[in-house]
Amino acid sequence: MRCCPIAQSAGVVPGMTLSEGRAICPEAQAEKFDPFKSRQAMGLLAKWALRFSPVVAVDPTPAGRHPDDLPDGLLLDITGTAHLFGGEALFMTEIAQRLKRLGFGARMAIGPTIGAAWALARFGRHPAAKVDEGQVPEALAPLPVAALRLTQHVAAGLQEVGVEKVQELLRLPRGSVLVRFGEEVLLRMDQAFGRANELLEPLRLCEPITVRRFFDGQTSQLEAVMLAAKELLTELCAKLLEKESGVRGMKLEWARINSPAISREFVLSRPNRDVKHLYGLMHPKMETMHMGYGVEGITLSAYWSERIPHTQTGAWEQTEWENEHDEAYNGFLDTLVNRWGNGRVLVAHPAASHVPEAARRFVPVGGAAEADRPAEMVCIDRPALLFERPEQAEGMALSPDRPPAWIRWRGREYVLEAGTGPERIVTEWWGVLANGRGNKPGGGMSTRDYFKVQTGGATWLWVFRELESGSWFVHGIWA
Amino acid sequence: MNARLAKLLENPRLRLRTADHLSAWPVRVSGQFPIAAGEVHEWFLSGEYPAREDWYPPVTVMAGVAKKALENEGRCGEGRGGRKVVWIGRRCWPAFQLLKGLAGANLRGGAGWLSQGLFLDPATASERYWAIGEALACRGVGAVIADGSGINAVVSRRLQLAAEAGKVLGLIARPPWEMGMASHAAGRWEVRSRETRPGKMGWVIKLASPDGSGQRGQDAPSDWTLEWTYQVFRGTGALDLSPLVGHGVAGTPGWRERAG
Repeated sequence: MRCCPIAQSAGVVPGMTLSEGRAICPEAQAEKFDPFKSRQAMGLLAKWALRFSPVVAVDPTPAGRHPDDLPDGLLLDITGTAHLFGGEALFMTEIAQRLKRLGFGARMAIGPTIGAAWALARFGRHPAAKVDEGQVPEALAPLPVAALRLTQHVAAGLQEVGVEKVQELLRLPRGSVLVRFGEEVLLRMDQAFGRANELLEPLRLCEPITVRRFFDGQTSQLEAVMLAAKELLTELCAKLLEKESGVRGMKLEWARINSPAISREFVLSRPNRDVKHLYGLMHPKMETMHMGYGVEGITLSAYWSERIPHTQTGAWEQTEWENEHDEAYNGFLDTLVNRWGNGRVLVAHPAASHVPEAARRFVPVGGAAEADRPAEMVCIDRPALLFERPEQAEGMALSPDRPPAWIRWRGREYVLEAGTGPERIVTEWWGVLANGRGNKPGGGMSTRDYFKVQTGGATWLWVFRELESGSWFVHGIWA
Repeated sequence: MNARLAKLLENPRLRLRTADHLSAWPVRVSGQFPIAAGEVHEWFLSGEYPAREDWYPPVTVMAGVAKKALENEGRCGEGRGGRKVVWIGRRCWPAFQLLKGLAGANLRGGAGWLSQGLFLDPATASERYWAIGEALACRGVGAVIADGSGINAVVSRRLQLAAEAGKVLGLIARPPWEMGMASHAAGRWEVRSRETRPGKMGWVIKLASPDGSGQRGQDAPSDWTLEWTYQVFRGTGALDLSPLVGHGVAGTPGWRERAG
């Protein structure tokens, strides 16, 4: 577990278990670590850092000592750029302030080599350090050997023989270090002190495919604008074909005379470069765009494109109509998502929970959550219709562990003719009670005894009694 | 007898296949079950609802019929329908275990049936009708199960035409008080809960004519009894159209309890 400075000030220590952390700091929020999102966030931060230097790379060195630790640093080549910010000291201050506004704390260092800057940023005493070219050995000497970006195995081997600081390593003969610990140690030392070259793998931005057309004067005829947009779309799709790609996200912008530009975006579930389909998505949105005093230009940009994989078709297999159906279905999805947004177009994604309403989860189609593997469902008899929240009812049972003999639900009374149960389900201790109360940690555990009961009209209901409140609820119907 | 209904019942292509073709599911059809792709069928679950907004659809029957129809389309090779099932309207969204249980004896099965589902939550009734029409017209969709409350004759006609164009099976649930409204659906089904045997859950479904007049011929069957059987150890459920569960089987009244 890792924690923010506020949790640390409350006494939480990185490496504690979650339950220990919650016990010390109950109001803290916990999020499961997602490596994919972490990498994505680092990529976004790297793009953000391009405003400080044209050469930015995500530091490939893992953050900590654990093999699963991901990089959490950026490398910037600031040759010729620091003076634009008033010098290197002000440069670091500016970056620190902007990162703080984004909610990040940061340690940074400026050095003549990547290795020197990395070592001082992570292991130096000051959160913002600077070392000049001739001062690198003196600056790195008191740091631990891990500051040289050594792997965990090599650093542990050096510590076993009593070499804990860089200055101690520098006193050892290079030959014996090479024989005992391999090339890695010497390479890292040389890179840090400037004796070996090291190159950055900078971030490369791909410019989105963009096509434009400007009219000879403004036009207020919608048909003319639509016709021009269709021609631009044909041109865009031709460029996509050259790159063997299809568009996933597209932006249409009208430059209007004496008015700000107006734009619409389209998102597709699969990469597509079919002019007819894309124009079918674009046309209804263009009808909602206000032309103002006239449109003088159109820009169409495929800001998100993906390669369309080639598919192998069989000679004798009946795959042609399957492909046709897949395309039709994808087109149907695109129409829905572009009309409603993907918040109303959902797929089933069972969650790993024994609580019935928690296990029944729907996620937006094409969203990041859909890529996660859904939980395996327990094979158990459940009502066909499960209410999103249990509905309060009144009930009467002849004894606590027997099904109710009578319930009143939705203003109607039912004398129950048959029943099975109980099946006990206990919700998570951090949950809420079925009546909505108890939404603080530890106060929301709900112990439910479920019964399957039959009404006089041969309808089967799934009811439960919550032991904490003594109330009856109806949770589903076999319909 | 309604001529359209007679034609529906006589066409051999419209029958659900019997057990000699489908060994995996215990279906023993006692008569022709006239449901096929390219049609819209409306379903009404009879019952007493304290308030109009409390009505609910016969999800088990609709899901079972849709699944069986899609399987038949695929197995027999005659149909080339899509495989996706679109559920439109939160009222119709089933519990996941129902879909998993209908999948078959494989305990790990059902993931395919669930993963082939798309769930739409339209904001308004008119958006819901639009979505139903779009889904029925899409050839990549196999079946549409939707909340069709408030559909009028014009919308009904449009949906039927869309289903014919897309060769999609449409199962539209409507509240029982709309049964008297005019409709262009190919079939209207009235569903009643019934205890087929002591402790067994079942439904009686009756095929009414599309105009809701309830007329039927003397020979053609129009009543079916379905029984829901859940096999606890296999984790599967099945809708049984068994001739053993026929007309005249009465439930045993009285209060009974079986320990769970």
